[in-house]
Amino acid sequence: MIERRYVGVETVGRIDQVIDRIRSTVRSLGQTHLIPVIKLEKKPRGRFLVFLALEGVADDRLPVTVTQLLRAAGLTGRHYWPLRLAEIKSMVSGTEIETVGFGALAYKPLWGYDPGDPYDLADDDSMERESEDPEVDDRYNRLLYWCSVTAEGSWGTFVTACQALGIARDSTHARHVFRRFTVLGHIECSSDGSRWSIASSAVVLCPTQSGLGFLCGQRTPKLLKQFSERFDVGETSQPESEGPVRVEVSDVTLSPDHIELSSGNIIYAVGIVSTSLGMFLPDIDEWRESLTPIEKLNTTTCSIERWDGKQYSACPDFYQRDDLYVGESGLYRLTRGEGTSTHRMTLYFDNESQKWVKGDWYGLRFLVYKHAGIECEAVYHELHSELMVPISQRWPMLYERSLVLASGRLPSRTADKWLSFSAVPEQLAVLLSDKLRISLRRVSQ
Amino acid sequence: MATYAQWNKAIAEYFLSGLPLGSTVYLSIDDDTLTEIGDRFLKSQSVTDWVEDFLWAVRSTCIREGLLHLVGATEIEGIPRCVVFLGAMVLAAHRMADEDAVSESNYFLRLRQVFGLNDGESGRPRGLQPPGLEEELWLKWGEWLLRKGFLPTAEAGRGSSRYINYPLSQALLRKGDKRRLEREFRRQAATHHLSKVWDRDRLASWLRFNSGSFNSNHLRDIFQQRDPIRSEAILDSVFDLYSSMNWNVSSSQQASALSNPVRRITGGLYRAEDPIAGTIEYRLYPREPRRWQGTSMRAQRRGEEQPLRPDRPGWFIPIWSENPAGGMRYKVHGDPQIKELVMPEREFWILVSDPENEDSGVFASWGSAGMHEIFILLCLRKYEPLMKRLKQAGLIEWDHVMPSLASDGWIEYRGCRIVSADWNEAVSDDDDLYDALWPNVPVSISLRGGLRVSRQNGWLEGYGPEVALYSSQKSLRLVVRDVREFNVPIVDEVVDTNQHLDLPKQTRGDYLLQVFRENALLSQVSFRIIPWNSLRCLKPELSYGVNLPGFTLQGGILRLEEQIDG
Repeated sequence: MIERRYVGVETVGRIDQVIDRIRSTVRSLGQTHLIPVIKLEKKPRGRFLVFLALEGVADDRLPVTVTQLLRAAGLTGRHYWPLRLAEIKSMVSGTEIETVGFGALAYKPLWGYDPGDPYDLADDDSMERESEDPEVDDRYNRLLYWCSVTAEGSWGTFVTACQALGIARDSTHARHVFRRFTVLGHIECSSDGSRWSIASSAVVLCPTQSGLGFLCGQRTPKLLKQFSERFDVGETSQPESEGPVRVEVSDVTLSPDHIELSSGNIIYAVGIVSTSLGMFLPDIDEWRESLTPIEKLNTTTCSIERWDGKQYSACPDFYQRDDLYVGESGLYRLTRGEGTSTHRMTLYFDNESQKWVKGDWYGLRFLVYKHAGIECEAVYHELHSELMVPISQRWPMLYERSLVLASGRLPSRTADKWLSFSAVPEQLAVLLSDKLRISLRRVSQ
Repeated sequence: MATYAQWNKAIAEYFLSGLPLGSTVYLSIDDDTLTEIGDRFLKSQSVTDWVEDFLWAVRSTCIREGLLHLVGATEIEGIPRCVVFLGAMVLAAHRMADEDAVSESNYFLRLRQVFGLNDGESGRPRGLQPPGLEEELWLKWGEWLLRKGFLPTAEAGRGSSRYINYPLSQALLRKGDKRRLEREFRRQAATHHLSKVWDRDRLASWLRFNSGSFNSNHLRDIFQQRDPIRSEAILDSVFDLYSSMNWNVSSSQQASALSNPVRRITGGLYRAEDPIAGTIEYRLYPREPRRWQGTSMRAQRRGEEQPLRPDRPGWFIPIWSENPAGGMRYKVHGDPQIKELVMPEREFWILVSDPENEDSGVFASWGSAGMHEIFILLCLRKYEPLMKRLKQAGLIEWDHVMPSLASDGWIEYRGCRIVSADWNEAVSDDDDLYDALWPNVPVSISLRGGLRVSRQNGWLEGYGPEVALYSSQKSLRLVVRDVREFNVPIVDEVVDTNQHLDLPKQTRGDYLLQVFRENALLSQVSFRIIPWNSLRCLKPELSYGVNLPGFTLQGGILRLEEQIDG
């Protein structure tokens, strides 16, 4: 059987129009058997590469039929032939666009749908905002309302909802939304990240501003209306509008442990959570031990890449002999299967204990730094109760959550690539820095 | 004795309880159904003969001074008051003698008997004059069902049977049909031509192949029913009968068992894939019996009990790992009627994607595969030659074949798709799998996209669904109706099939989407557009959280270990 090979062509234009043009040309020329799928360069924009898979072509010269087809589809840029999947794998996104099927139908993999590993945040969290979206707060609010009435679901349903609301184009962007909803205390996820459930509604108090509280978890327009009938409620956008608005309650004194609204809905009054959580969190070594282990992982059927500090690279030095894994400790990406049946997972491997563990991506990257003995730092501005953490050294999600639950606000980004967490009491900053073995610098002005 | 209002409520609850949203509803009232409704929904009343009690309630309300009076279409406790009245009309249809010709005079003879009219007249009673006076009640019932998220089925006929077709369209199996079926099932089981542990699909296939053995024109006709919607409803009724049979006693001992509720739960198959371990597991996926009333049940295997918890309407959460070959029976505790959970004997399974979330990657035996719908076929290797022939004949395509990782001798055809409807001419084969794959549904309707609230059969306002009609026909007539203005369709046009179409932007409300070929209704679905400001928070069945030594964190709620223990 002849291996499927690809012709890569440089092109420009709107991606959807380019794809439509190729698909309609392939179909009108009756060549769907020859060119079954199209692949695109990762993050295509401006001038980009499109790859057409050719089935059953052994010749090293591009068949004339294909040359004519490229011309008819307006693909007149420079082309590269022949290319194997292994050669273009690192350049292309995982999605395969079928040329067969029905013109108006959106692409759907042939069997199943893998929205990827919800924890894999290797892609930069700099969401491309092509234009200002005046409705972005509403979109995030609606996503939280949808989560509140759906109550639970798979990671895939979360991605679908993000796409329907125009919040995320694909699962890569949805992963960041998923993480932000988790640190804000709105949703929780299963230990493997494959499912989520909504958290109960709760008013959490801010440790640095007496009487100020904010709402976490379930909310709907109706619940908010009833809540505002009982309390003085305000709303603040998240930094860069990257999440549902903070619903804040001022002058709140919450002596009972819950508030019952007229509809019978319960909102828990939980006091200050951030510092309590900070006290109970384990240190970094204990945290590593608490991560979900993956037992008896067979790596021989996977292609393996290791995070080198900037990107994933192939690591031919890693291998498995019976139950023994030979390779250095680090953050690995394992890929099993091909094409539409590809599954990918990101895991941390600890050579000494021979353990594979799963966890949030920033957390696993943090373990890599600790293992390599890299000194991590943070800065605390006493005057503003503000904790600054370098974006490149983000903390494990649970520790970051402790900081976010101090204010109900996501961290903002500074131009020089720091994250700024607001309303963090000094005690919490010190406590967490000690547990993560981070050197904390205090600034008084 | 139960009052008219009590019967009205009980009948409505009986037909809707445990029914998945979007299901079709037949108001198929007969003597057996009335007994079951009485036993289950009116058990606080001390009544020995529920049929007589029903007739008393009907007659005491609808007959005054010897004349029939139509009840109004108003609602009591949120249910149309006419349910009992319409039920009495269907009871008359069921009581028509087995081989009665369908005529107005025959029907009204039975109707007069049901209402106890002794006015010495014949034909349409005076209280139902002029003809069609009762139509408003049928329309009201239909509109109410749609508002509840279910599909009505009562419809007018043509010519002289225009109005009597409403009750006739609701009558599924007559009493005589049930007795014949039961006798035949026992006879065939005794000679091992029929298994006692089949599921609905397997039984349906057997019935199609063996309809000739029934000594009744009427039964033969109903198993070769051309109306796909009605055919499914009849199969449901036959399967209910089959599931109610007590095989341990003889036919004569079970004379009254025809009115017994379903005795056993049947399992489907749920395919769970663990991409990390690279394993596939098939789990027993118990179906909720139709009209089941949420009792707390536990299934027992190897001495251990597992609770049956609701997953979605019509299904319990998948339980243990199971061999797809099935043929297993497990004890069930906690329900006065249901005693058994059966994993049916199967040689193949058609596993379709989750209808509530097509993109979830989960496959289970939620239903049959429509034209062009992606599914997985899990089958024994012996079906390989048949599959090859089907592919060569251009009837079916698949992406790839894999040996099943979970069961020896089984293989998975992944990415299967039925691509042609011309099965008659292609491969002739008296084979169960061939029969099961045959696209006997002329069109399947797919609603996808938008923002779906799965537990409410609805989409959120501003984020409604797209529709695709999968069919071998190139175009079909699509009609979309707002239930509030039923007679003024918002869409009525011939559309191309096998592609996604945007629907006009819908405002909040209930909608019915129907597909016709010429004037014949082929399929229909209902859906709801839900306003944002009416949303209610729901509690997850399974809540996740962070569990670390000393504490649990769920959202903004931190619980310390001593609080949890306390």
